[in-house]
Amino acid sequence: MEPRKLITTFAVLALLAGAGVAGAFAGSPAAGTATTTTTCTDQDQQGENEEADAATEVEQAVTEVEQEAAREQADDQSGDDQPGEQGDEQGENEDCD
Amino acid sequence: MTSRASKATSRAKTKTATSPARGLSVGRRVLPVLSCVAAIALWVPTTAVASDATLKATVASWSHRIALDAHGIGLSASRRHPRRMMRRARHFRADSLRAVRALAPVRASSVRGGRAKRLAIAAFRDYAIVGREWALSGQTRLRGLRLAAVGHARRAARFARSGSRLLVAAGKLLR
Repeated sequence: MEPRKLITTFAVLALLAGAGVAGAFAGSPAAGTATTTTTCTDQDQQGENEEADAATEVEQAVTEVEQEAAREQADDQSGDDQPGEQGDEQGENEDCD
Repeated sequence: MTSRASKATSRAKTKTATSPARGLSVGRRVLPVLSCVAAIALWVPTTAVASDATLKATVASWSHRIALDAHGIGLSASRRHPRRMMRRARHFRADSLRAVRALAPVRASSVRGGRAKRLAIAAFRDYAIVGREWALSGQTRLRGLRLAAVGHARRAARFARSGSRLLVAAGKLLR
């Protein structure tokens, strides 16, 4: 093979290798994301803006906890002692541990 | 005269013969260097995107978990179940601290990514304080110390506002 052709072949191979490595690096976290989401997507579709959703849920919880703390009415002790309650356990059931 | 002329012709021939050879040798040196530069140029931006994508996925994943925990706490509080609320609040705190630990080793590759990472870590640290205050609120409520419970709930609210603001800002930077 002529030296010029050889050099061109090597250059093309180097470019392809570079592109391959870049593709692998770019692809690996995306695959990681897919595995993280698939565990949760069955129960709850992961939205585009998880951060805003979390902020909203936390704000709602803040309101509920403040109301509960200030409430003069007695707590529901019997319900609190029960091991599980439909709806109230929703948060834990949906948790992707 | 003839010999001088023939010498001149041969010199000219040598000159024309050597110039493509020199071009070839220059090409031989330049081509690999160019290909390496091109390979690096292709590789560097994609790795930058990859690192920020990992950061975005990690923040989103932990935000999702925090949202679920908070949802449970809200339900327990609304149903007047302070003991259950306390347990969930501790879980919320533990998850917030886990989020901080999960984000710490993730490398941001852009300035925006670095800023988003700092904001997200600060947000989850605030949420960890929120979890502790919610747990304390439930505990004091169970002891019948209503004013103390209100105080802890208010302190939690303050940190929750700050945490949420930071988390939303981090999310916007990663979009």
